[in-house]
Amino acid sequence: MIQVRGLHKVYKKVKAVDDLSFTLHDGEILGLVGPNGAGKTTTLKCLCGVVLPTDGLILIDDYNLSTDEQAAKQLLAFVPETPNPYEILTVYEHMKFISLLYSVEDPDPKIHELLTVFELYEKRDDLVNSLSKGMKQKLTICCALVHDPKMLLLDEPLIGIDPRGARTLKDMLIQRVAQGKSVIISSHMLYLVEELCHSILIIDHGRKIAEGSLEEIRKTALASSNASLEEVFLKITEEQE
Amino acid sequence: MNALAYLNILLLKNRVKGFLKTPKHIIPTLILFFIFVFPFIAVHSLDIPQEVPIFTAETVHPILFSFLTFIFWVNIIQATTKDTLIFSLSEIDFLFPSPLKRKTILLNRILTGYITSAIQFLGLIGFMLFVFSAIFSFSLWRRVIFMWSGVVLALIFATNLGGIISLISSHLPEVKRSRNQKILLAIVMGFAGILVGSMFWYMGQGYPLLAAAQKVLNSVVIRVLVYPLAIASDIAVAWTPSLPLLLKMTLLVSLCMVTLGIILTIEAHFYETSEISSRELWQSMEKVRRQEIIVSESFAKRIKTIPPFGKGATALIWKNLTGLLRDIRNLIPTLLLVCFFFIITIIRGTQVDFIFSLMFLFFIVVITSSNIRWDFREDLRRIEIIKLIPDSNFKIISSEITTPVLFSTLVCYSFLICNFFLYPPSPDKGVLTVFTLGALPLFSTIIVAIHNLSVLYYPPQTNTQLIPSLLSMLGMMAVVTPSAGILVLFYLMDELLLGLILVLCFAGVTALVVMKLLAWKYRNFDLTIS
Repeated sequence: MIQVRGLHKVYKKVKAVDDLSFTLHDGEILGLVGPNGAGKTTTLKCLCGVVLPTDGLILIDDYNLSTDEQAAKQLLAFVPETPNPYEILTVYEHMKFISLLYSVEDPDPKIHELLTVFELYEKRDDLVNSLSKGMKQKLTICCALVHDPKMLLLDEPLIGIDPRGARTLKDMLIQRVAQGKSVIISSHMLYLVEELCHSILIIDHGRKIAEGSLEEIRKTALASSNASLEEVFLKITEEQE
Repeated sequence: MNALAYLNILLLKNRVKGFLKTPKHIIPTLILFFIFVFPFIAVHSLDIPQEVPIFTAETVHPILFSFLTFIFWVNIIQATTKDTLIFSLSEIDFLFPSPLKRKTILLNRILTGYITSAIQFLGLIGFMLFVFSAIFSFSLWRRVIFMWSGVVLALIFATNLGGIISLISSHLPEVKRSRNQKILLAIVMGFAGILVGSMFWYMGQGYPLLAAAQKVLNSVVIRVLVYPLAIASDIAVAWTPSLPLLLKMTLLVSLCMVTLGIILTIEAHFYETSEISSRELWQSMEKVRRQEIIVSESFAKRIKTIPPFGKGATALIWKNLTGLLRDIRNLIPTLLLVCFFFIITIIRGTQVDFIFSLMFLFFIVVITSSNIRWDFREDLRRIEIIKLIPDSNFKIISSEITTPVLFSTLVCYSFLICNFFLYPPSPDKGVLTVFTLGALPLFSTIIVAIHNLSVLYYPPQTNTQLIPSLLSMLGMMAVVTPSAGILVLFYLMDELLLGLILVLCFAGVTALVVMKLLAWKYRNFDLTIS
């Protein structure tokens, strides 16, 4: 479970995240949506401990991220929007290195499985710099999954990935959620959020403007019961402006 | 196995393997190595009388001391506003979110930084002293070890202090950081003021400028103010071990260890500031590496625009000219360099034969043609645009080289006019001027075309910038050397006119051949091969 309470992040004079609170329960996928510059990436970076919040509390399964950083991070994995894997390592070496980082016992079967599922097995001995952008994205996803994290934070995970890879990732996320693990997806692909997420958090200018299931958000936006997330999102963000 | 140890070993192994597997990297490196090292090996092996060293410990010490002090203060001032703990983007994406302790990641970065600097400075100092030892007789290895130890320890100390300031500043608000920088700047200005004031005092005592500078840098006050750097300079210029030297080395090593210890004890969440600085640095380095044109918008708006002209490939001339104007500030260093050389030749005297002034002009053509922006290289990054131009390849590459050739020729012509009036009349002056008017654009064409040819072998996507520069330098020498040879030969034979015509024909034919070759290579250029 991830609990965020009163999260603030200020860059110089800009409030990137402003008093954000939400809870993500085990076995749930949360969709984080918002216009450009809404503070989605900053929120995810605060959650994975890369960015230090100006104020607020982040609990990862009861571990306070600011005081029990290592224990909290052991439960997390983060896939950035534009990943920069080590170009000079081979695909296998990269996976092996990440397994060592997270102290994974006997990682080879898991590495084999992930590379096969994401169609990278043939490339296992190739240097990362020879991979296409989509393949690098797949590799980063494999790296995030190798230690079987309890919480997965994904920032625009489908950019550059082929349809088969996208399907594999979606299936894998659904499977993980069934096992009681949780996921946060930040994306502008609203159909993906609508398809996968149990709850949706809409933020703008760093502030929460709606939260809940699609049904609940429809009610908040006073939208019709069959309105798509795109319609609801446009209505809510227009009202904010 | 420890994850970071595994990573560092693999990174090193794969880098070496990657280098050894690429002939495109090995061959130019070997050529370069032999070009630089062979002459000195030859000098070493020949039994020729050795020159008396012009540099002694007393003269090298102040130079080194000033260099280390400068680096030290730059590092310290930078650390107040920007994070000096720079990480790679991969480290940011994969190590920062990992459960590794921040201090472990920091220590890994610092230690790998030490090792990298130590290796780089060993190569640099080793090569520099090797060159000097070839000319002046002195034992090489002992000096290399002392100088390397002194310089590396001083840099480690400066880096550590910068790191401490960075870590402390990382959680300070912008206002406080800016105030701290002002305080530090005031300290540095005070230090510089003491230096200048003392120099004036010594000059008032009758010392010449250089002797006064040397006296000040060796003075007790200055040494005390930046004592660690003073002892680092002492170590660097020593070549016999002694007890005082050993004590100085022990002190410097202790200072490095203490400052490293302080870095590791500071509890600071440096990820955020490091990420910002690192991303900024990598982005700007990426732009420099790609020779990407960075134009200031406010400056570009102040520059008069050239109305679009050209049809088909010739529109590239307009695009490149516009770029040249908007980027003209980046050419200022080149122009200043050219003016500097011009002043030097004038100071040396204009009472020599006019033909010697031409050597200067051909030197200038090499500098201006080599230092202009590489529009062609930039355009290869947008290959899908230029490959689709419905025009002949020859016309495309001719349009691409027009702007640099035009710039270089204009600069050279302006100096040709100055020289024409500055040098006394001579019987050959008219014919030499006419020859120069024709030869300068031809040589510029050859140099720019060779540059562009090397770029086709090492396009921006290969992320290699040094090798194409070296290749084009070699190609340029292959053209300029025979021309100079012909000219000197015919001048000595008193057949100057014939020599000039031959050189002009040679340059014309070479320019055409190189351009045809460039067009052919461009036609067959396939980006996917790289």
